[in-house]
Amino acid sequence: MSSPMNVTRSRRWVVSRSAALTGALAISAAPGSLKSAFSNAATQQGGGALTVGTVGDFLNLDPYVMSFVNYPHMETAYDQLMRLDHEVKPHPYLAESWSWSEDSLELTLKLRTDVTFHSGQPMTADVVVKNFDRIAVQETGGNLYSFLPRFKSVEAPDDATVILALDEPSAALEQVLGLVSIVDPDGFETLSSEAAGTGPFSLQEWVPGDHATFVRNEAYWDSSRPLVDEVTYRFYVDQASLVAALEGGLLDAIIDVPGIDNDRLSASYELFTGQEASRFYYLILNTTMAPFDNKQVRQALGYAMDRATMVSNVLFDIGEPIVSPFPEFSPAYNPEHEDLYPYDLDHASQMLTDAGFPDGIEFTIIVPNGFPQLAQFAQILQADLDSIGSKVSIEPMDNAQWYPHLYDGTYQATLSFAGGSQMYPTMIAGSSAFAPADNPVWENGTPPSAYVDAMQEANTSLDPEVQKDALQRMSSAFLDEAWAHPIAFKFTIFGHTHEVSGLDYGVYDQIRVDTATKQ
Amino acid sequence: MSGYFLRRCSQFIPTLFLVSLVVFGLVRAMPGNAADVLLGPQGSAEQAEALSRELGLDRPIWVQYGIWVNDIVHGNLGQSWINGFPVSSLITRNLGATAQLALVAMLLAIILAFPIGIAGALWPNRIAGRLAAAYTVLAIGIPSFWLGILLVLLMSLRLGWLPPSGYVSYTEDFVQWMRVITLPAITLAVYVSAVIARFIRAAVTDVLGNDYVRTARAKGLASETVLVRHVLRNALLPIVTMIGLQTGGLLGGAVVVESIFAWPGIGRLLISSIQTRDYAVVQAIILLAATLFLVINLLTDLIYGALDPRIKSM
Repeated sequence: MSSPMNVTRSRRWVVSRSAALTGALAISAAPGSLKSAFSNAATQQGGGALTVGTVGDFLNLDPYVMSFVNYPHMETAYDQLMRLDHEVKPHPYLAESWSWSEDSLELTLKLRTDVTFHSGQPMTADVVVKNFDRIAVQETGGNLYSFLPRFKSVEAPDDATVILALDEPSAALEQVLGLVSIVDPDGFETLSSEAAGTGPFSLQEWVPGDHATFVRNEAYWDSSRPLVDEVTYRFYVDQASLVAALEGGLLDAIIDVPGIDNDRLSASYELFTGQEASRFYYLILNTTMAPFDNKQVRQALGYAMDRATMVSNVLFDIGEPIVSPFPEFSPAYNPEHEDLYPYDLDHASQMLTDAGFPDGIEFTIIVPNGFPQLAQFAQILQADLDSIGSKVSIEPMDNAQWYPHLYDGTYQATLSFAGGSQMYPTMIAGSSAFAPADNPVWENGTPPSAYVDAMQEANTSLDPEVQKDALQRMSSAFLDEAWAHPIAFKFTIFGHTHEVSGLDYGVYDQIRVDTATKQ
Repeated sequence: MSGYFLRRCSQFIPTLFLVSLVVFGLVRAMPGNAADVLLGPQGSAEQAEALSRELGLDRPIWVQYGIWVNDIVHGNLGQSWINGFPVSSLITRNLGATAQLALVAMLLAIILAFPIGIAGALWPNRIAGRLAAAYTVLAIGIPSFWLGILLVLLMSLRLGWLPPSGYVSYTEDFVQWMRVITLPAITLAVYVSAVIARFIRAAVTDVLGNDYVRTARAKGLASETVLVRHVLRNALLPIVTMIGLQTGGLLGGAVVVESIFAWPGIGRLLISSIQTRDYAVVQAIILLAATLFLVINLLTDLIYGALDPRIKSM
């Protein structure tokens, strides 16, 4: 079994290596004729075909639909306005520079002028405006709709300039632009099955349920990338088949090595950990339903959660127990928060008694079958609560059946996962349970004002000190009200053969194959 | 005959209509929809509602049914609600892959089943017969998912003889196709071979007791001749029926094996489409299966009518 130490060491190694890669990318993305040492090496090592295995097929080829099964194509077929490094700092990409107006209400993007789509059409400012228009519509904006602020206007004064005008400053905007892929407007209507990006690879074929093959974009704006001629993603139903395919020699790399296989595979393959805090698991308690309308009951559950056992038994230590959803590098992180809810069943029992439940509580947790870890977390919590006289029923259901419950708040408790806490901290509001408005687990959709006001202040200030203060208050309010209890960060482990090098990942663990080589 | 034919055909159309209603109703009764799946855990009620509108899911259910039936009547199975591919092309490709697997598996099963079944019938109390009986018990008892994983571990990971999964079209690379289809076909064939072998044993045992077999032996015919000409020929009819039934079962029941070996078959397509609430694909596959069933029933009725004129007058 892998120890957290191994994982941490691996992550540090990857971060340092990737920082070098990102530096090289930033150089190659900069204007002028700068050539990195990396790109020189690339010209000597290029070519070949890379086959990468992943569990689950693409839903579609729309980069705004940020389901994790869509991650592999997001930075393969598409480029983003900015590229985020592993510290989530934006670097020039399709936008080669940007600047804020003095009142922080306008962001001006200067675009590269040498970028074309796979269709041959040039990427211009008008095209970028059309993309923002598409994101601003609920029906077509996918997950980006909830990430981006509502702009006052988006204009293109010339072919290489886009001005984003806001009603109020947006602290998260630069980072979010690192997620905005630019799509060829001619392809808007066919994005379900055809990619229409400017990325390093263009789609050759997608056979649903089997594989998708991308070939090198010969007209790519960065001549030093990509390094391989072809990338094929093969889709598997489960992790056991995925690992067997790697070991059987069918794959060069796999995304998300199962925790149970981590140690065994590390003897024969190279493994590295993806983005820190790219995803966290959490328990949601619906405050509009008894017994969770009682704050003390909600807090008691925080003490009843054996996060260490959950990480050890369910994630095989490929994760990190957490109380607050924010990683150490986040401005919302406060080390004192991690001590708030230690595992203490006696204390949890006493709190339930104090809250008026001396005989314990009874409730139902709904869990989706498609994410088996969630049911396993629920079982551990069920056993612990049972030992102090509380009864938990676990109701498993199909994912598609679970989503409407999640959106509408028609449950007492559920388990889920989210990304966003690795980004600017208010981006966790992209998940409805953390939203400051239309929140399904709060009466009238509004969480307590201490949380909402702090989030609003953090969102609209560009002063780091003000931001930090507001974010810490937001985090404190969230933990005090205890309507959601984070459980663990889940690390994504990538594995590849010794012949492959240069694989990288984005902030949501989107695989980056443009820097990969294969001997 | 023509009156009977018309009567049966006229029953076929309303039955198909009822089937389409049931298929549509059952599929739409499933909680959740494609919009929810596209948004995932990070979606919201408001956005799910907007996307449902975009997909036309907010229209009255009878309107949606009417559109679907109208498309079907015009030979259009529609497009996937999730990935936009034409449903007909998805079904054609996946059905083809499943058919290849089912046919190779059945061929292997027949090759295994005949010697085992015959040995069981001819020498029930000798070692060969007991081994045959043990094989059938084991083969029926072993779950296919377990056998599949064992075969992958042994043949692919330990010995490195065959690829653990994948699919290649036989038109692209026949040798590689043979390699990739071998393990899933064996996994499927083991169970089916045991079922058929049991049937062969029973059928052959029945025939062996008949007077004409005894007569053939008394005439001094060689045992092989008696077996092939007199025993198997007479036992074959129910065996062929069973093989047909099992082939049908393989076409629809290979879901687990398709998953283990990443074989892009129709079962996997159906399951993933149900999971993603891809109504167009689910409805088309179920309607197709139901239609095939109805057509086979109709043909059977017509053949019965031809064979037994009394049926036509009923």
